[in-house]
Amino acid sequence: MEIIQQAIHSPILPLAATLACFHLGYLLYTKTGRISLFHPVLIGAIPLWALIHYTDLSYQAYFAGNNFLHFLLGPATVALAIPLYQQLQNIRALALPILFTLILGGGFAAISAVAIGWQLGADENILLTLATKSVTTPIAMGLSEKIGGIPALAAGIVAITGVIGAITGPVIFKLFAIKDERIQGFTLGLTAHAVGTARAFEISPIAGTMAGLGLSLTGATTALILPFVIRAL
Amino acid sequence: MLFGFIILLLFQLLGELITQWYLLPVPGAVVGMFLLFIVLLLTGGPGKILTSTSELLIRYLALFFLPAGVGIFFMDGQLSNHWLTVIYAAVFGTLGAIIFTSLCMKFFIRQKTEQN
Repeated sequence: MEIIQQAIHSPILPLAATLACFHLGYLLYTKTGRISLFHPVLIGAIPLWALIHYTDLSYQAYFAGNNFLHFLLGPATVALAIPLYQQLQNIRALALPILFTLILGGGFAAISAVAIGWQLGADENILLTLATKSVTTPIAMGLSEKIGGIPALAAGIVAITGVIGAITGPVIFKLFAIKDERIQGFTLGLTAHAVGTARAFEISPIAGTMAGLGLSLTGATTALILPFVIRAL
Repeated sequence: MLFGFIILLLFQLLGELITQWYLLPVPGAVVGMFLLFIVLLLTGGPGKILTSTSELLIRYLALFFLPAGVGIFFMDGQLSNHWLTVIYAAVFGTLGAIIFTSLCMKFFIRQKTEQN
């Protein structure tokens, strides 16, 4: 038993476990023909939850062991500049549709969540946190703190939004006959940030690039506009 | 590979510094992305090394999100009585936002192609 205890508290285990669970999830996902419900972010999270829940490894210790992986989100975000540059010709023609969709879609994503929460009688600080749900985690946490929401809750809501968006997006596109990959990509990036962007890159490079654009534009405009909207109310 | 990674980190660092100087509410990585994009426009595009490094990082974007994503299951008890409301709002808000956003963009693109 002591050897298991040692393994659990080894600094190697958390990182190894994340990679293994993601890899298993990825195998299942590709073997089943990329059924959205089997996305590795969702499937991989289940054994990791079990590991933390059933052993005395705390989530904090698990996360500390995965700091490097989490850190790579930063350079990966910067790296989105390269597909953006490569797809510039395809995107330039869409400048106005992108701008209008950004304003209306971004507004709808924030307002709809707040409206549903309000209907269900949520407290004010929870409503303020819900407003940040479609932007990527670091923006959402800083933003919710600024406007009087709860940063830890923001991180959770953002994660749920990303996973739900990445899973249901492709199904919705089929139902509503959205065949244009540029629309699919931009919608995934706008509504489901980094997880949606990862999903969009699986559709095609242009979908992924549009998602990266949607993610960064939504993040930037929400961060700039939301504090003023809240103050005005 | 290593060279590409260094370039990305330098732009992220530059982005972080700018957000701190100007107290921008945007993460440094997003500012770094726009800065790198501008530099690519000025220099005529990324080299082979930067392109392959960025492709590798982007391919694993979902993996990098996993450690934070697992955190959903381990939120503080203080919030537990609000969970159902929050999940309900996040799920249905997201479904609505995807339908609205995609139809919205489809409409604007059609408008534009009809104009031309």
